[in-house]
Amino acid sequence: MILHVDMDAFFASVEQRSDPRLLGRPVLVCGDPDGRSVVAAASYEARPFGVKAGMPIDTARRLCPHAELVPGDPSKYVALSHRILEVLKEFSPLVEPMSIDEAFLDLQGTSHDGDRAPRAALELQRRVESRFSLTCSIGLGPNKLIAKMGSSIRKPRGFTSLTVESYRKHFWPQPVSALWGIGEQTEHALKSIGIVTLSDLAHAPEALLSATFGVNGPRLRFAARGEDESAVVPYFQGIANKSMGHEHTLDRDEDHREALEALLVTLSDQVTRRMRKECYLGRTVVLKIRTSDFKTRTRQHALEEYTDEPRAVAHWARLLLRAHWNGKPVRLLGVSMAELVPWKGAAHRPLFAEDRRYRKMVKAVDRARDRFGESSLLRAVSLRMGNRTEPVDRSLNPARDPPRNLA
Amino acid sequence: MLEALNQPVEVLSLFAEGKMKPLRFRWRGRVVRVRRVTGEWVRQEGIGRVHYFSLVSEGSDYFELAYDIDQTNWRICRVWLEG
Repeated sequence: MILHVDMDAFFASVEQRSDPRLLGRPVLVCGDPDGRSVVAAASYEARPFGVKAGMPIDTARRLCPHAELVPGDPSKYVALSHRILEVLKEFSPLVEPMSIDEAFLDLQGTSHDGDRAPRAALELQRRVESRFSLTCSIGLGPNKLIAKMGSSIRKPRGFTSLTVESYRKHFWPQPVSALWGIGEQTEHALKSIGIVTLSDLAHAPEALLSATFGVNGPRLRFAARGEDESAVVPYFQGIANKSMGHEHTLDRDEDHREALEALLVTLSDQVTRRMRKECYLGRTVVLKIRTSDFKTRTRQHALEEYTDEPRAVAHWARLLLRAHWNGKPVRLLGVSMAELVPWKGAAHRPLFAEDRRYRKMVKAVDRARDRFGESSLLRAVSLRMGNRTEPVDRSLNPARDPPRNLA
Repeated sequence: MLEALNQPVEVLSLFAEGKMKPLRFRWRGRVVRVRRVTGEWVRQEGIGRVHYFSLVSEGSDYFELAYDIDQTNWRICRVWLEG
């Protein structure tokens, strides 16, 4: 049997746990409360007002004016997430963290499998709550898909056990959007071929699905039937990163190309810095643009060679912007690298002297940042928009660590 | 509201069994006694590690303190002020 553990309103609950005066009050975790960030998490007290994650702060403030806005602190959530994982490992060695606040456990081969699984789930819930004063909702099922779908049925502090039959009874009358992994675009595409409910999808002709979605068509039908053969991948085996990216919501909508390109340089620098730290090379540069009308578009370009250097990524990000930006004021920009491959320090020596010098410079900057923090060296181009576009790194303390001149 | 401070602060703390715990600190001319540590986490800042603590005082105020291992100093990072 598989358990899916989903922490209830994790970020908001952690803040309520840290500061007990927030308990019972609507709490919104966000970036800069005075800026234009979005809601990262809303406590259950805020949700009846229609506030949800991903919503701009201004909108959330209008819906729930008495909500407490708390700037999020990722390192706090990561630290607690690791401690919670230790509790999950008391029930099974096969624990797959799905995100900072969700994980799968495979109980097969443990003393908690079979008829004992529901009791184990409730005991797990109790231990998490007693040790961390945080609640979680748990789904129990024969596979990851059903367990994941089950944990969403009752929240917060819910427990739902489903078989394939009870999964079908509960979910088949529901719209296709209820299926894990189906987003807005897929939902629209399914509706356009007359598939509205999960029952429709489970009984749809395979040829029709293949013609519309290619190889993913039959997979969708498979999932709608509650079938899933994917294994729980233990945390210690790691999960290869498929992409890495950084994005930034501007303090105000921006329509100067030069300023946007300056931000792209900074974002490319951050992405490639992370890739070098985690030993990855990437081949596809992905640009994300969200304009003031909240329309988001992503465009990508495949490079001829794999790279982890900021210069190449920034160059192609800028070209993508020039080719695909419609000139409307920009609210958010993002740069990602996809098609990542792990790279363990094998020879990566550039052919030309100038490139070798550049590589040396990148390494020197990395060493300085390792030692003095990420804000110790900034690219001059990032100053083109003053402090407005410099993305905030919450691990920094500019008041204490002003940029140093290392020359 | 939550106010960001980032000011040096004198803290009396207990170091025992491989852990540390702030017990009281001097802030704005008065001694604040810690009633309960509600959270702790570590953040890497350059090569340095900084230990953060969220806590509630005996007066039911909320504070976040940080101990920088390299600099061996404490800072008061955030405080909750009503109104």
